[in-house]
Amino acid sequence: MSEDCPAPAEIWDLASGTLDADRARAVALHVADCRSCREAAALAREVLPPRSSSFRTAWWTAAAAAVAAVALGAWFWRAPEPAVAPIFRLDAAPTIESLGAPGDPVLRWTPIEGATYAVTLARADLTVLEVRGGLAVPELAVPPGILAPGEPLLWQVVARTADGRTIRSRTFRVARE
Amino acid sequence: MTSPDYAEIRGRLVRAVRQVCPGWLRGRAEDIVQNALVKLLQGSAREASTPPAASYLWRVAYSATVDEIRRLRRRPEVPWDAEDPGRAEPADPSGTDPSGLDDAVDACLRGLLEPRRIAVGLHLAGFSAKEIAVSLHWTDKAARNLVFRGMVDLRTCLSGKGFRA
Repeated sequence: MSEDCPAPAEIWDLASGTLDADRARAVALHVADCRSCREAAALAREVLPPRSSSFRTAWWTAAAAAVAAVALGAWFWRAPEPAVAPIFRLDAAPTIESLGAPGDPVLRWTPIEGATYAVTLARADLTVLEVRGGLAVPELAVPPGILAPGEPLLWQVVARTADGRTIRSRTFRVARE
Repeated sequence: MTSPDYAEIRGRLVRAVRQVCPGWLRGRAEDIVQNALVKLLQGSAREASTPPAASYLWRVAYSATVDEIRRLRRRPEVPWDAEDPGRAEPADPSGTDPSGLDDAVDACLRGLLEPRRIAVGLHLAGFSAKEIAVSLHWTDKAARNLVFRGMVDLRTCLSGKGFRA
């Protein structure tokens, strides 16, 4: 950390994609060189509210693409990420998987010790229905009447661990009876 | 700001700070909320008659939290009343990595070409190539290539320092 670190708000704006190109480059260059600001950028990236960031929109788009791929019976699907060794990533973390049974009105997922959870529920057209935060147990009863019978539900869990890390699950899709 | 406004906004700030604040800093959450409220009141960009948008509250909560982290890291000295557990500074878990990998990564990053340095720096902060592209106004393809090539450079540099993937 140095005296010339950018203001936290600028790191936030960098993560949300709202800085102009020149300033974004300058702030990102500082972030690359400053371990403390890399941590701050990681924090911003993790806590950006879904609707305030264009890349969160991209996340939902990716989720829609995945659902569409399943619907079309695609056999292979790979994210176009470069093949980089994950050992150098600072956010290596346990994964969260769905533990619920088909038709179960309660969503369940793999627990992480000491974590609290937030769950986003959405329609198949990616309309966010509800965001439930501050859950201490790895389960959430789907609110009755939130969806029409037979309408599929998309859900995603964000876990905040006791040491402050944030772990995001992939998007799960369940068919409702 | 009328009293009901204040109560509502404060409640939203408390929730935002609770989400943003790292675990080791939770004991300071109330101080961070107070600082965030001060920032909010000082914010000149906001009309006094309109409640702040949720995204703005999150930005303020984040800024107050990072400010508090920076403040604590600038003040390693122990206060006179540190024997009072209620007044002791929270313990920042970040510290020197005994393996030296953190320092080696920093040194190798500084040796990368600037665009690759930027891409890898954000990648190490958890950003996907897509997110890097959005943040830097690059194309997705450019971001992917820069992350890929930068990580190759970083691995090569770390290998030269004795670190193996």
